[in-house]
Amino acid sequence: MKTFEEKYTAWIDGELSGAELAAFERELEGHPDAQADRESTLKLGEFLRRNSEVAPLAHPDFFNHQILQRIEAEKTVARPRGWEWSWPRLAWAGMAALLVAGFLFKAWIPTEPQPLGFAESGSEAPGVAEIVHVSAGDPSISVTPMHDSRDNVTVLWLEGLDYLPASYNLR
Amino acid sequence: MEAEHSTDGPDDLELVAGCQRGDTAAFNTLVTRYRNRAYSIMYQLVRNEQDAWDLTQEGFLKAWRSIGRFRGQSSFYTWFYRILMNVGIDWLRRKQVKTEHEFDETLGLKNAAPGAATVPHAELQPLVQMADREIRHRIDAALLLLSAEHRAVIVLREIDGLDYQEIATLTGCSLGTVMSRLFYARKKLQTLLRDVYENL
Repeated sequence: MKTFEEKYTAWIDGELSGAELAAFERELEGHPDAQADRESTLKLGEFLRRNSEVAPLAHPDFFNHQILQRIEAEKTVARPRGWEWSWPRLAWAGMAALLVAGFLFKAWIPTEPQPLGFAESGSEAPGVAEIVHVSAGDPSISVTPMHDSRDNVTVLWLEGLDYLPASYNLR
Repeated sequence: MEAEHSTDGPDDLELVAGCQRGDTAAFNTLVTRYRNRAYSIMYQLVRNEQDAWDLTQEGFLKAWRSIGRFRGQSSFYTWFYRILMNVGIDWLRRKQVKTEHEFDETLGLKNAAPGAATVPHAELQPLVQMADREIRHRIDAALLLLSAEHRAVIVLREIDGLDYQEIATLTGCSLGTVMSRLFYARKKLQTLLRDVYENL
């Protein structure tokens, strides 16, 4: 169901026909100014069209150039795709982290405690004496060094010595 | 809606396909083909050369950005025309051209003689001597008093000569809305311009 405004517009533009036109013209019988208003509206349209000439686009090549320049600029500044975490990437990153951690653990943290006083490769632990030679002046006395790495204790077992004088020079 | 087809060179759909592959030269050809008509329509809408220039370019850029979504259900020009109109109407809305006096029928009647309310004579000088430039100024001033939506239907119907259905498609509203807007926009312009066009 068209409103009066819709039908009036269609009537002015000659878009009504048949029964619809007849019905609307009967409706307009109560509007004696309608025909004059229609002519005025058509004149308005003609007036607008006659005065609607627009000067042609100035500098058309520059117009195109600017558009293409902006397109190129947008291409240039278009950000590369940002880093996105995904499950495969997370898995690879986790594995890499574990490998690095394992390497560092192996390289920097000794797996077994070094025995004090007896460095395996002959190197001397700082601040710890190493027994390299034992001997006794009295042939009736024998000296045997023993090292217990678990308790980190070195024992000199002196066989045949009743006591150890305070002045005994132990090297 | 008549598109300005150039008889030279590839047709619009071939050029659109090129654009969809990122070919800016193809887009350049489309711009060249439609720039004058697009600029003219935009000028009718915004009534300012610099704004019309900028907004027409904006329309072309929007078309470029969304050309990947063009599926060819309509002609390129119809599709582009809609983008262009949206750019213009959005701009007019932002500029708040719509005034609070939108339907104030007393506008333009300040200098009217008593009893002559429907034929205001705002200018006392003989209207037949009014220079074209002054007429254009009067039209510009009158159109500026219309809302963006009313101005769009007037431009599309009275100046561009589109039918109701085409206007409805371009503006995204119903036929009834188009006709209703046309009714009020015409009434407004009659009030504002009758002294000019009735006396020429």
